[in-house]
Amino acid sequence: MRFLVAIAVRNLLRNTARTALTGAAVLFGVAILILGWGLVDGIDENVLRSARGSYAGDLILRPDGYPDDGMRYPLADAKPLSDALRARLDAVGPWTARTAVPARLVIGAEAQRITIWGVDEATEAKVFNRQGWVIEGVFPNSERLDVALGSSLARLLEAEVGDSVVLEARTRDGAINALGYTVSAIVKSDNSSMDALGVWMPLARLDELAVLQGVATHVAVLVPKDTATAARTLSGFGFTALTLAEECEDLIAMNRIRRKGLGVIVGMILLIAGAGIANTVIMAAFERIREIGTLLALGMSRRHVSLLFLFEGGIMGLFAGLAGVALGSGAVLYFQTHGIDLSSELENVGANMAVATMIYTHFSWPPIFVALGFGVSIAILASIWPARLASSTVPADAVRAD
Amino acid sequence: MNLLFVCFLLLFSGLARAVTVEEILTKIDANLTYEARESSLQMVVTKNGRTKTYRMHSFGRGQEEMAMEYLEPARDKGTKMLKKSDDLWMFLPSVEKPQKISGHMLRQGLMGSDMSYEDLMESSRWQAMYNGTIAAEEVIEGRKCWKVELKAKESTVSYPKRIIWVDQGNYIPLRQELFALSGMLLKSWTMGDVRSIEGREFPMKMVVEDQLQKGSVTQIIFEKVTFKVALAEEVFSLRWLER
Amino acid sequence: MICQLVGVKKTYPMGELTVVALNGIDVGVDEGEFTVFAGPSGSGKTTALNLIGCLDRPTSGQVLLDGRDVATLGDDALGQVRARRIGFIFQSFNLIPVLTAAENVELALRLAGLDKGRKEKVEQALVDVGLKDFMGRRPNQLSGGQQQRVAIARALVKKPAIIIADEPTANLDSQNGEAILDLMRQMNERDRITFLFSTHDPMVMARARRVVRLKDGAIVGDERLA
Repeated sequence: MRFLVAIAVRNLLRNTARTALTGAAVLFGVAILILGWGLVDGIDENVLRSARGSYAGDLILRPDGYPDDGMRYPLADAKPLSDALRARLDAVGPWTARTAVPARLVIGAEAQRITIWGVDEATEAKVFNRQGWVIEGVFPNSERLDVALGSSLARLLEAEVGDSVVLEARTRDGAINALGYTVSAIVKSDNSSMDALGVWMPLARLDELAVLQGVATHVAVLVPKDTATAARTLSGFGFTALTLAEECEDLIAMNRIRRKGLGVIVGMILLIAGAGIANTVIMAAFERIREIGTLLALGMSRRHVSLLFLFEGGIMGLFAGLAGVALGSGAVLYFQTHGIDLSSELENVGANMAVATMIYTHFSWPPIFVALGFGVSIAILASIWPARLASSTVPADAVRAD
Repeated sequence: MNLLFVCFLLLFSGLARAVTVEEILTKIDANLTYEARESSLQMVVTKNGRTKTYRMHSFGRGQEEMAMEYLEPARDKGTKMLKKSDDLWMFLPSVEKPQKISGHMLRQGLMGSDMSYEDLMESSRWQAMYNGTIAAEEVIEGRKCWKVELKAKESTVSYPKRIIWVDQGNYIPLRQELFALSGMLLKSWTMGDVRSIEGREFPMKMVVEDQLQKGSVTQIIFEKVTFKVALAEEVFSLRWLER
Repeated sequence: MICQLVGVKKTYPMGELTVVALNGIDVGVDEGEFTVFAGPSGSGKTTALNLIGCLDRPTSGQVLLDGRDVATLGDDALGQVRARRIGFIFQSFNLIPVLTAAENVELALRLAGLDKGRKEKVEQALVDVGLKDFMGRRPNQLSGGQQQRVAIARALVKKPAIIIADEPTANLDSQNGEAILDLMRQMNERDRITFLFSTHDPMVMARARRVVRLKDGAIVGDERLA
């Protein structure tokens, strides 16, 4: 049997170009399955991480009737927080209120519609530790007329720290107001829509511009456990509470579709790989018909001849699969620590969805075993028919074939 | 005691002058009210050094009704707009059904210009929205004008402050300045090339300049205006939009 | 008698026609013979060799090997018979290209299930055919004559009852052909190994000790030379 394996290996090495080409299909199928799996697993984590760290916390409250599509932030629908709600919030966990105000940012001859996020300096840090944010400059404080610009927005407007900008916004009552500010920071918040359309300033400063009358549009709460229960205790105060999972439901659902898509793509790649392997093995069988005849003449059983071809397919599948595992899990491990920076791509498509700009893949063992098993099985399955074909030749004819 | 007296005096003098301002605003309104009007006009929008020119055909009746159709550029040909008192509809050939423009959408610039839909719709309601004082008499483009300062009566008015320069001869506001709550100048709006058409004085050119965004200017040039037209009732209906 | 064809008939379907390759022949081969099946192409000599070599089955008649009718054997059993009892030398050498000369020879021993002293036997076989220094070479690193010597070593190494050689010199020049024939004759004389081969070359026929002439699927002559 070892001899048979040795012959199979040497046969594979005989036409290295063809073996490599066929193996490449298995390799990429396996690698893509592993990487895709790691990516899709990662995206779920990223969606939650991004929303949690940029605006939602574990629990997000919006005024009843306030849109949650991330497209519109009508200040008219904002509400003040009642004392009763504040007391409930204090009991649940660290929380902070924010007010989003749609505005027009003017810098020189450029203007852009944006959303200003007024953050409460006293409580913001209790909920948002800004880990994973990249802040160039100093995050604005209420001492000065400063603002922070989202990184994509800054790039679009070619704005830099120290630039003067004018923000034009409506007050809560509807009057137009405008004030001049200095850009004190450029922020990459790990939330593509906020980076593309977001401007941050202290709530106290935003009050001057938009005369907020004490209203808030968002309340983010940290409650890692029993979030759903906490959400129930916070409802009925004019605000609607959503858990992080509910808030990200649509994005997670999209990811589920992505998972299916991945399966289809990988299935197709492996199908192509399987066809390629079958083709390689059939070609090998036809090319080597005289050799097969000789082996039969020398007394090799048909089963062993057929096994020889299965070994060839299987060994190629195994090695290509292992290479695919190395490539795929290497990529997954790399992107697990380094992340894939999607910010520029998201800018290009003008994504307004709150998705993470950095995708970190997630490494786990199951995809590796599944992918490798899949790759090898496909390779062996694809070899069965050609192997049968090869072993069923009549030796008397085969020994003389050209 | 002294302070109270001063306050009283100020208040009294304000009331005394308000009558005049009221008069001026009434005249302006009257001047902008037509039995019927049909016009061809051009709108030139300049932003970031790029210029876009639109040509349109417009109908007006009274202060409340206005209908407009875009003729150029080809991309926007067939786009129609209808204003009936407080309501505004748009019809885009690509969308088939007329859309009502309301709420925050009214605050957007008309075809990317420096005039918002709201600007167009508010022009004839100054009396209701503002208290005014005549601040000075100044000469604009060789015409003697009253410089009138208007302060919003309510905090819900879009422009909390306006200064207008009204031609003393024909009551056309030759220049307006629109201010933010902070006092920052947002827009200037000038009217010129005043011609006498069918016995009415009419500014054939308007220029709106965004004072925040440098180089953002919108010009409206009337090519042909006529007041003596019989407009079919249908022009100011949703049916006309879809036609 | 090592092998015997009794009333063997072999036909091949060819489209709608049936080609008769052997039309009921009777022939026997004794131990130690150095016999050639001679005849023009299409005479049936290769078919006869294939039947004796158990590479094919007759349409009718009996093929007896060691007095046993091989028709009773299944494919695998027939394979075992070939592996243990029959050595093959082919016109195109038919070495396994990915195996070295030694490995090609070793393969025959493995398939015959002869594991004892395998290494020494392989070496001896290659020394016997004069390829002591070429044992590690692959077939494509050997000349035609050398390849055929490897094939002879491969056939001889398992000490078969009979070696069947179908036109063993047809692909060689006359000098190499002579040498191969000399080698075969030498093995025949030294170890009394039975050789049965085919040719249409009169020069080759002259080296045989018995010439069985075939024509159109029938034996037309059987002469023993000195």
